[in-house]
Amino acid sequence: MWSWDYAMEVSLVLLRALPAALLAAFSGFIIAATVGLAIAALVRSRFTAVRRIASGVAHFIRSTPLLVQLFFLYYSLPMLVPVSMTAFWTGAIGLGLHYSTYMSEVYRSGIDALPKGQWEASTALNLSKRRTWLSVILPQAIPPVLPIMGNYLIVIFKETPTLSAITYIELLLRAKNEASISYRVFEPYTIAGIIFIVVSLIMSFLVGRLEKGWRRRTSA
Amino acid sequence: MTQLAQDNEGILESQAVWRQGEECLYGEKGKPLVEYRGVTKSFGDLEVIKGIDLQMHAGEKLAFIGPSGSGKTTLGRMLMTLERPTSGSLSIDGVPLWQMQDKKGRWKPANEAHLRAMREKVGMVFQHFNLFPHLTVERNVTLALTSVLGLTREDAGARAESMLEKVGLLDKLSSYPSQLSGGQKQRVAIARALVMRPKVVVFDEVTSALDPELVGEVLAVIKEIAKEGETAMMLITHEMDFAREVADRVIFGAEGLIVEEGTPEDIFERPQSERLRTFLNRLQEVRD
Ligand SMILES: Nc1ncnc2c1ncn2[C@@H]1O[C@H](COP(=O)(O)OP(=O)(O)OP(=O)(O)O)[C@@H](O)[C@H]1O
Ligand SMILES: [Mg+2]
Repeated sequence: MWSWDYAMEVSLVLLRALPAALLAAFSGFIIAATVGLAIAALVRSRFTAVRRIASGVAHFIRSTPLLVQLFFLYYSLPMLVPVSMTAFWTGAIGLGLHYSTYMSEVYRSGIDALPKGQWEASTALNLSKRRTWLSVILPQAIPPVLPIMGNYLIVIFKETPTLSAITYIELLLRAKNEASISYRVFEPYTIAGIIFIVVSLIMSFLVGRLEKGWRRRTSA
Repeated sequence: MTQLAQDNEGILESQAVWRQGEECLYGEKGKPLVEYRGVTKSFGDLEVIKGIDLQMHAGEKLAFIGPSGSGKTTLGRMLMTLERPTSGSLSIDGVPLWQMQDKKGRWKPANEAHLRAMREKVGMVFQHFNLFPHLTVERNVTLALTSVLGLTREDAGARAESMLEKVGLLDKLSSYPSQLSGGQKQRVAIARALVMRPKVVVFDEVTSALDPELVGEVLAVIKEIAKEGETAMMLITHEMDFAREVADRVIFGAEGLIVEEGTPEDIFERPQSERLRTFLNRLQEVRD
């Protein structure tokens, strides 16, 4: 049932799909981190309408499945507007938008943890809203939540197989293709799973390093 | 005389008349720097400021005393634009703080741009310092200089240094707030507020979060700055000796109203109201 020779062979094939999976994950993560930050700021806007719309949109995105969003972006959206995105960009943007709503909550927890006095001192010094965010709030709110953000990178990476549904060739789709060629179902999926575990472990090790480095810097 | 000069003459004349009018209105001290007119403030159903009329003149040192919960902090926070009055008007240099006129001259609530313009004249020192912990002492003091007043890093640095020298912390330029004692933190906060050269600064119980042995150094710094005289100060405080020494005028408030006001001698030697006498006696008892 299990052939070591074939396992070795399929490992090399699957590893060649790893960069594509990582690229989608990192791109999605960067989009999620950026859009999430925008949402976190918008839900604190002094304009009620802006707050309502931002939290409404975030709630909507979070409560629909990623797969549905990906199908919509990839198959339905081009019918409505004359844009067609590659599977990669659809995947990155889909992952990014979906996880931006979670990321905004991460930012929110960092921002809420700051004492009210930091905002008040900024007002008393007449700092602009932009300056307050950039120089006072975010430099204090983000470092403590970096580890949680790092964990979302891992979560997003583990979600990349969903992109196989929109024909993006990442680990799972490559494994599936291999299985359909060789008619062997054990090795490709097992190896794919192992690659996910190993990469996730490496990522969480790096996130841990990041956290420790930050702790050392702030306790100094 | 040219037409332009005549027009100018006319304008100057009408300004002189206007000023005379103001003198009638405001007395010999002229137009107040800060004026509260019928100001009230409620938090939900709780009315904490029940109608305050108060004027402060340029450079005046005003001490605000009164029992806990009487609304002293709220009064100062409204001037710093941290709290919006429920009714009444609050103006600085004759310009309403919380209202503005639109193009057609109709009054409407102040927007952020108006508040920002008005805030240039006000500063505040908080009970809990509220320093920016991720920035050095120097950057705490220069941040608003560079980003609000648009000074270069060098000019801001120079101005910050001379301010920090005044509060005796020149050697702490590159320290972080966590490396300072409470008294030192509060002196940095005072420098940070004053370096912007506001016309009026609210000091909200700036020593009440400090260990007793650190109170003196902070009060000494405030006294020193008060002597220079340019900045008006609203000193909300429980330190009666300090109020007596520094203030031109003392205001005693209770339950959201001004009960009594006068010179430090009036208030401390010849209290008129029963409330103030009780308040002072109780403080005396605590001390003895
Ligand atoms: N944001 C707020 N929401 C609700 N109630 C508030 C708020 N801020 C102040 N209050 C209430 O308003 C009243 C006056 O508060 P304020 O802090 O102005 O009093 P204070 O004279 O400064 O008292 P203290 O001497 O204890 O500092 C208090 O009863 C307080 O609980
Ligand atoms: Mg108070």
